[in-house]
Amino acid sequence: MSILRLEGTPSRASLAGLTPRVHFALPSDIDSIVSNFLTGTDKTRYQELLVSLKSASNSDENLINLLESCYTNVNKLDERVHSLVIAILNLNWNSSSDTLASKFQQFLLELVATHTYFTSPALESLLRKFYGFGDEPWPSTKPSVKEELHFSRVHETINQILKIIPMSANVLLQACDICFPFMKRGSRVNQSYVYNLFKICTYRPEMRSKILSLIIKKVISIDVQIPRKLLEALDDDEEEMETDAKMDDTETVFTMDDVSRSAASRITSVVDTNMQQQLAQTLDLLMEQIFVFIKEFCSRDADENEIIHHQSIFMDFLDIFEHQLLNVHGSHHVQFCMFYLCTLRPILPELFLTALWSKVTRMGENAVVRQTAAHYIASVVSRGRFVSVNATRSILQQMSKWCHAYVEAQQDATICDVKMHGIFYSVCQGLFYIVAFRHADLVATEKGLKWVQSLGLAKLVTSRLNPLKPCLPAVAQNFATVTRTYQIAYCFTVLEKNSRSQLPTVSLSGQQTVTNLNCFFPFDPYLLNRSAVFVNDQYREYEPLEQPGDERSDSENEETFGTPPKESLPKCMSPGSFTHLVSPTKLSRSLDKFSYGSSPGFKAY
Amino acid sequence: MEIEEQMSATSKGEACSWVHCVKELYLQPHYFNQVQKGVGDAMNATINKYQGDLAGVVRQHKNVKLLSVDGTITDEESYIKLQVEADFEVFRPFVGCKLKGVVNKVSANNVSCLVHELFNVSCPNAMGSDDWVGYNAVLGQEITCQVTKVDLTGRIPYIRASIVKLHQTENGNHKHFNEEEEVEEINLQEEEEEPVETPKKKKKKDKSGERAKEKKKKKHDSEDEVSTTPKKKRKSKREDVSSESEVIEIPEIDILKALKRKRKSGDLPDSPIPKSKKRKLHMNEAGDKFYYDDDGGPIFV
Repeated sequence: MSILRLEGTPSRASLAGLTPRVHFALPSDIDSIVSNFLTGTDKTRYQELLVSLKSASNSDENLINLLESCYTNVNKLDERVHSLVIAILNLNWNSSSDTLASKFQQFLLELVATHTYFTSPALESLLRKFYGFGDEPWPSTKPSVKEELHFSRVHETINQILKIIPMSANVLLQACDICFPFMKRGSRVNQSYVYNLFKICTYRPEMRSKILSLIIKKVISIDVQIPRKLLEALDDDEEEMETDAKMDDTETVFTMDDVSRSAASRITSVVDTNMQQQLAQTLDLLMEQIFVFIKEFCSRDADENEIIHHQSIFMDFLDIFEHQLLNVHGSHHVQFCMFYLCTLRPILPELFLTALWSKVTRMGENAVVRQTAAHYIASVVSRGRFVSVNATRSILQQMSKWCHAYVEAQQDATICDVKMHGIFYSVCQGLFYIVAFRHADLVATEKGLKWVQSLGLAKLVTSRLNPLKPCLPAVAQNFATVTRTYQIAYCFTVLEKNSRSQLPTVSLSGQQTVTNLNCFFPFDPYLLNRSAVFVNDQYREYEPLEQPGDERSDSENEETFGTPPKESLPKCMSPGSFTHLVSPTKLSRSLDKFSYGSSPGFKAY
Repeated sequence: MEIEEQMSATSKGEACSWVHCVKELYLQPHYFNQVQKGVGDAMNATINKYQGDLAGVVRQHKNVKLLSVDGTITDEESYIKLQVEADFEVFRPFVGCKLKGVVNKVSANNVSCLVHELFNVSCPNAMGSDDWVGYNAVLGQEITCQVTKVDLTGRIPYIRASIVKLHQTENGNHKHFNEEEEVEEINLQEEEEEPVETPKKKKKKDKSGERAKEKKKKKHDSEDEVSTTPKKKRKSKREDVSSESEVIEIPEIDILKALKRKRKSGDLPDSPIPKSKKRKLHMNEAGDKFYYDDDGGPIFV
C-alpha cells in the first residue's frame, strides 16, 4: 500500500487546495496501457497508473475521464489485469458532485455484466463503503445527511447489480459476512454497517431472514463477551455518584464498600474495562438498530397488512432464536429482541410461549436446550407486561400438569438429583418463579385464589423429588412467602430441612449428585441505556409482597437494619445476581426488604 | 461414464438437458431424525450450483429415490453418505452451443443477456467491427448467441458468446425487463410457484381466515398448535402448487412472504397484460383488441 493513500481523509478538493502539490494527471488511454502491458511492450505506464490510482489526491475530472475510458474499454479489463480493476474498484468515488458517482456506477455495472467473476470484489468494495466516516456514534439512529447520500448511492448500485446478475444474491450474502467489521473496531463502524444491512432488507425482502441471522450472530458474539457484573457495576457507579451528591451524611458510613470496589477494579486492568465499556456501547447501538428496524418494518403499511408483517418477521426471529439463541450460554441482552417483538401484538407472546413449551416437552430434544427453554418461559411470563393473566394461567396449568405427571412417573425416586431430573427441576423452578412474581395478578379474585390452589403446588413441594432444593434460594424464599401468605402451601419446613442436609449424596451409579440448578434468567433487567427505551415500559419489575407489618419496619431508623438480610430482593436486582453484595444505599432506597409478616416465630429469617 | 455419453448426446446443440444419475449425498447428524428433510435439503443445496460430477449447473431435480436403506460412514467423518438416484436438469454450456436469452443490459461494445432467466452471458463486440449486430439490440429483446468461452468454476458462471441473431417478438413487443426481477426468487432456493389465484383475492381470504382462527385460539388456548394459524390454510394450497418442484420441505411462511413482496414492495411487473391468468382476447366495435383485467376494466393491446 502506498503511503499516500489515506482512508477517510477530507475531500480531495480541500486537500488539493491546502498545499501546492505536484500530481500527475491520470492517463485516459486505458486500452493502450492495458494492451501494452499484456503484450509486454510497456509495463511501466501500467504500474505508474496503479500507483497514482492509490493516491488520494486525484481530482474529480481526472477520475471522470479515467472512468469514461474504462467504460468504453471494459472488454479489455479482464482477469489478466486484475490488480488494475481492483485498484479502480477501491477508488474513493464519494464526492459532492453526482457526476463522478454516476460514472463510477455506470462503469461498475458494465464491468460486472461483462466479467461476472468480478462480482465478488465489486460487491465487497461496495460493502466496505458502509463503514461510513467519522468517529462518534450517531446521536440519533440515522446517519448524517452527507453519509445518507453516500449510502443511498451505494445501495442503488447494489440493487442494480442484483437485478442484472440474479446469481449474485448468494455472493452478496457471503460478502456481507466477510465485510462485517470486527466487533472491537469501534461502535460507529458497527452501527453504520448494521444500519445499511437493514436498509438492504428493505429493498430486497427475500434476503431479510439471512441478513437478520447474520446480524444476530454477530451481536450474540459481542453480548457474551460482556459480563453482566461489569454493566451492573457501571450502573452502580453512576447511581452512587448521583446519590453521594445527595446524601452526604451517609457517605462516611459506606466508604468501606466503595474502597473495596474501587480496589477490585484497580486490580483488573484498566484496558480491559475500557474495552468492555466500548463493547457495551457497541452492543447498545446495535440493539437500538435492531429495535428500530423491527419497529419500522412493522409500521410500514396500513393496518390490514400489519399482521402479515408482524407474523413474518416474528417467524424469522423465532427461527433465529431456536437455532442460535437457545444454544448460547451467557447472553444477556440479545434475547430482548424477542421480548420487543412480543410487545407488538397479543398473539405473538402466545406463539412464543407455545414454541418454547413444545421445546420443553419434546422428548428427543437436547436436555440443555429443554432446560433453557423452561428458563425462558419463566422469565418471559414473569417479566413481560404483555403476557395476560389468562396466558399466565394457561401456561402455569400446563407446567403443573406436566410436573405432576412427571412426579407420578417417577415413583421410585428417592434423591434429588439434578442431572437426572434437570428438566423437571427447571420447570418447577419456573413455576415457583412465576408464582412469586405474579402472585398479585393470580390471586386478584376469589376464583383466582381457588384456581391457584387447584394447581397442586403443595403436593409438588412435598414430593420425594423435592423441587425446592435445587432452586435458587431467593426464588425459593420468595415463593415460600407468597404461598404462606395465601395459604396455598407451607414450604418452610421443607426449606428448613433442605438447608440442614448438607451432606453430599451419591447416586446408585456412583457419581456424586449435583444439587444446584444451573440458573439462567434470560430477561433480567436490561442494562443498556440507549436501547432500554424500547423495552422498559413493557418490563415488569419485581414487586415484593407487602405486608401490613412491613410499614412498621419501613421506618427511617435504619440502624436496626445492620447487615442486610441475605435473602432480600431489592428492586432492580435479579435473583440471578443473588451473590452480588447489596449496596446499603440501594437498600435504604428500596424498601423491599423481604419479610413475610408479623408472625414472631420466623423473625430469624 | 454415463455423463460423457449423455454429453455427446447433447452435443447436437442443447446446453440444458435432463440427466438421470446416481449422486452421493452427505447426511449431517442433526438430520438423523428427519432423513427425508435431510435428503431434501441436500438436494436443494445442489440447485444453481456447479456440480463436478454432473459437469454443469443443476437447475432442477425430481424423482429422488434412495438406492438403499443403509448409508456408509467412513473413517472419522461425522456424516452418513447416502446413494441417491434422481433426474437432474443440468445446464452445461460448451463452446459452440447455441443459447437463447433475453437482453438485460446494453452498452457501447457489449450486450449482456440472461439465459433461462438466470445465467448471465456477455456478448462483446469481439471483432471491433463498426456494423456489429449488437448495436441494434434493445432491452428485453430475445437473442440467440453462440458460446465462445465458458468457465463454470467460479461462484457465478462466466459465459462469453457471440450474437447469432436478434429476434423480433410478436407485435414488436419485447418482454419487459422488469419481469426478470421475479426470477430472483429462484436463486435463493425457493420454489417456483405460480400464484393460483390473483394475489389480492388470496390475501383477503387469508385475512378473514386468520381473524376467525385468532378468535378461536384465544378461547381455547390449546397447546398443541405449534404451527401458527396461517400455516393450516396454506398447507392445503401447497399441494395444488406442486410443479415439478425441486423443493421437498417448504417453510410455511414463504407464500406469505412472496405475496407480501409481490404486492407491496412494488416489484410487480408493470406489464399491461396480467400474467397470472389466461385472458381471453376481446374486440370492440372499433376493431381494437383488449383484455379484461382484475377490476373489470379493459386493457388494450
